[in-house]
Amino acid sequence: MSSSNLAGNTNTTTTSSAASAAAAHSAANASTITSEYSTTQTTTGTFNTDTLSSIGSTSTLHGSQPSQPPPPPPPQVSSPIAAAAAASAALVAQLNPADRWPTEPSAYKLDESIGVGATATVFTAYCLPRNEKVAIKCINLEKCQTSVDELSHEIQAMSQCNHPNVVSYYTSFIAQEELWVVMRLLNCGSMLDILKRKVKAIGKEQAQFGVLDEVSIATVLREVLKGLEYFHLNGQIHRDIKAGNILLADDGTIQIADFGVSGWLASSGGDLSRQKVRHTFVGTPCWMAPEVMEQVQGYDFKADIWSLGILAIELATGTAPYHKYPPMKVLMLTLQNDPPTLETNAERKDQYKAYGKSFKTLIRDCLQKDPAKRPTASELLKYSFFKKGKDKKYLVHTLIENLASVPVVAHHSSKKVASGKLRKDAHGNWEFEYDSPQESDDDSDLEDEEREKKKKKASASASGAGAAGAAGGATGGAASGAPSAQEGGGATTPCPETLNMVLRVRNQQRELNDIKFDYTKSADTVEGIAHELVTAELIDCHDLVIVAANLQKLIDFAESKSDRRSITFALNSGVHANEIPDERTLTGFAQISLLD
Amino acid sequence: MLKPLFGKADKTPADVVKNLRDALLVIDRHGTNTSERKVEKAIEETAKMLALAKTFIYGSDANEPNNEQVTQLAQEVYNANVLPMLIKHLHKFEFECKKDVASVFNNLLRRQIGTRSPTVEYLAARPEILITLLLGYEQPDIALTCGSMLREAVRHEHLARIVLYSEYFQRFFVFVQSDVFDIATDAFSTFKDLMTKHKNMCAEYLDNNYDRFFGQYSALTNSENYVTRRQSLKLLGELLLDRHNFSTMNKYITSPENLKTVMELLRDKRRNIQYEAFHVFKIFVANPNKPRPITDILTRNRDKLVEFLTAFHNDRTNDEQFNDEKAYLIKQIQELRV
Repeated sequence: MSSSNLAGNTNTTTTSSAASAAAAHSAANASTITSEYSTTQTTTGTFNTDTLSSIGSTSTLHGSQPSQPPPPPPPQVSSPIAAAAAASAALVAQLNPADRWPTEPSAYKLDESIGVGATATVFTAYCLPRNEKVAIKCINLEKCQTSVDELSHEIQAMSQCNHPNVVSYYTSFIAQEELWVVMRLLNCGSMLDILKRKVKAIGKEQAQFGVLDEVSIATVLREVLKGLEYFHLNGQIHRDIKAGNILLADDGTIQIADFGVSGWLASSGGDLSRQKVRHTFVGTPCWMAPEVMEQVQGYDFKADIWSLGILAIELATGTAPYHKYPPMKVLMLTLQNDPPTLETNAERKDQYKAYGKSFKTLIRDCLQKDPAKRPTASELLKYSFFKKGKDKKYLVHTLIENLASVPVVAHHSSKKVASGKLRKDAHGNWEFEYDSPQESDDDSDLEDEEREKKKKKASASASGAGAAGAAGGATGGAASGAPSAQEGGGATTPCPETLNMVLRVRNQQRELNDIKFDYTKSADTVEGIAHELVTAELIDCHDLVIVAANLQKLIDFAESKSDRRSITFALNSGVHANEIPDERTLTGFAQISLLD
Repeated sequence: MLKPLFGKADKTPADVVKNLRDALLVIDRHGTNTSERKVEKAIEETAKMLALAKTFIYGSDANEPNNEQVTQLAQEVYNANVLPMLIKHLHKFEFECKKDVASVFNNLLRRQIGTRSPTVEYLAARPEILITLLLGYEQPDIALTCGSMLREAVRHEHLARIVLYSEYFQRFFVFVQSDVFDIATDAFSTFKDLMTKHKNMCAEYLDNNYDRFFGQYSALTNSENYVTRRQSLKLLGELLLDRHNFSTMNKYITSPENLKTVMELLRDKRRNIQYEAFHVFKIFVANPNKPRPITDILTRNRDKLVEFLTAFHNDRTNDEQFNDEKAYLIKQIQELRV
């Protein structure tokens, strides 16, 4: 009987296998390897029998397992382990699914993209079951260079944080090859967005003397410090504190976001000793502490205090010190120079006199090169500067309501092709300036155009003839720069020495940009230009080498008098999750051309 | 100046543990009813005492830890038997309090007196504590906290053996496929530690439980969940290549069914899955004692495999070891006809 049953099972398996093979053959894309499997299947009947025996054995073992949950045994005869399991099962039975955030993509309706990177996009989204707006970060795990283990550590670092000044993590789950991280939506954007809107609101002239007032800065930094204090007491380092990672909610809440490079000091999270240090080289160069760059003795949570000092300068001046320089130069300057101050960004004396002594003391103490001398977050919170800080309502009024009429920073508009010029200023530093919009399709644009013309006129007269690198408006600067460059070119160097080029590439918001720049053989390197493109966030850092290589190729064409004037090449940064690489539309590709 | 210092020294470790125990007994007596005022106060008291316990162990800004106080605290914790109650009622505590439980628990586990680990001995005598931690993965609110404590515990071989040979170990095959990413990956991390940290014990376990273990493991490598499939394939490669698992490896790579599965995974549409499958496939090909059914499959597919591997992940130009291995496999397969 037993033998007969086994034989019967074998026959059934063979039949199923034949059916599967037939189905495979009928499929248009059936591969021949599959058909080979079919042949192999037939000739290894003996092993099928063995496999069946094995499966049977496994089933028997499965049958011996206790049912889940195990029925509660009589207390008198229960073992401690069985009692513990019964208690746990009882707790599980009481869990309320409504308390949980959903873990299937269909429960969320993705809305606008509010941030794009090479391997991840952040969307506003709507959680249907909970009737709540959220932010969802979708990370493509096939493109992401971070290992699953590292991502897991980062997510767990987030999920183990519960503090009003740290971004609120709700849940995360796998959707196909993407990791979706569901977080609280802080819909007023980052402090970097706020800085840009503020500059636009008060004008570049006024912004030169300071973007945010001391009260706003004190309020924001105090909240950031509370978040950092929490991190550090929990044995965590953030490692990427900057305006772009400080978020603002519509109730005035300030939260630290982006745990992309956060990490536990200890692998298990169990030992909170602050003696342990890290050796990983991560973060954004302008905000990076010297000991992180040096990689000699490792670093600890004091690295975040340095970044906070840079953030303070950023909130006051609108940019981080050394923001104009390529990454390697930033490293050199940070290591070799005295620590930055407000004056590091200044172009004239007393430019930042609006900021008082207590603010400058804060900056100085945070930016000491010896990490042991930097105050802790807890100590900083006691600094007199923070007596100037106010409550959330002040931030709502000052940074949200007052700037409400300023156009939002566009992250996802694809209607216009933005363009700009990358050029050197009088000091030999690279600067990138966007061109003014060419089109006007409504009265509002016409009005803007009129205003722009007046601005251009004023700017032109203010800067005077031949004053390259003037601090006037973008248009004025570009206008005055171009003739000057041409005159200079004509007067001092032969035309063939300088090449005019344009790089057409999608930015992080997937908008197609035309970036114009000059290359002068005697003064420029392709690496330098590529570095600047990365620093200005016009191209992804993964594309630095490929852009430099193709730039060199085009220059070689020009020097050999080739007819070829344009090169289209694939980018290493790849495409967004919902995009398909397309050379024609420059999706996942870029194009570099010579201009006449 | 003296007054605050005296204030800090007001409670001794014995006082802290006594208060903690009294609070836990109130919570324990009232079962699931946490809305009563008395229970609320007890939960608050528990949190306060745990925070104080943490300062004894880790020190504070003002004071370094005092070894004598830590020893005293640990001894009181064992004597008062508070650990079982802390873990039993973990789900009732506030967010930060749960983390404090893990911090204190994990630190106590690291204590050594000479060659003895008193907390390990304490837990070994009460295996139900480990089972409660393992089953914590079923409760989202405490899964990561229990996972942290369990991982700390199984760093000690004696405790790892209790967990590995428990009938509840099989639940890991469910936990690692949790819908919630951080719970799934935390469980996988613990599972991986159990299977890799104590080499001889793991090898013995795999030898004794081969059919059951790999029967369940195949559900992971065939999982529809991308991360489960990718991570389990990676761990499979590590398990097979560990020299302690030689006997298990031999068994695994002589199975034609396993080879077919790996060959299918090599052609998964996702590159990272392909890559992990390669590191399992290479073990089959590199086996100098391939049984006939294995060589038959490889020979029958020889030309297609050579073509496939020649075009396999050619953009990994920086991965020298991978490219060397790939070239070696192609050579081995080409020479199969000899």
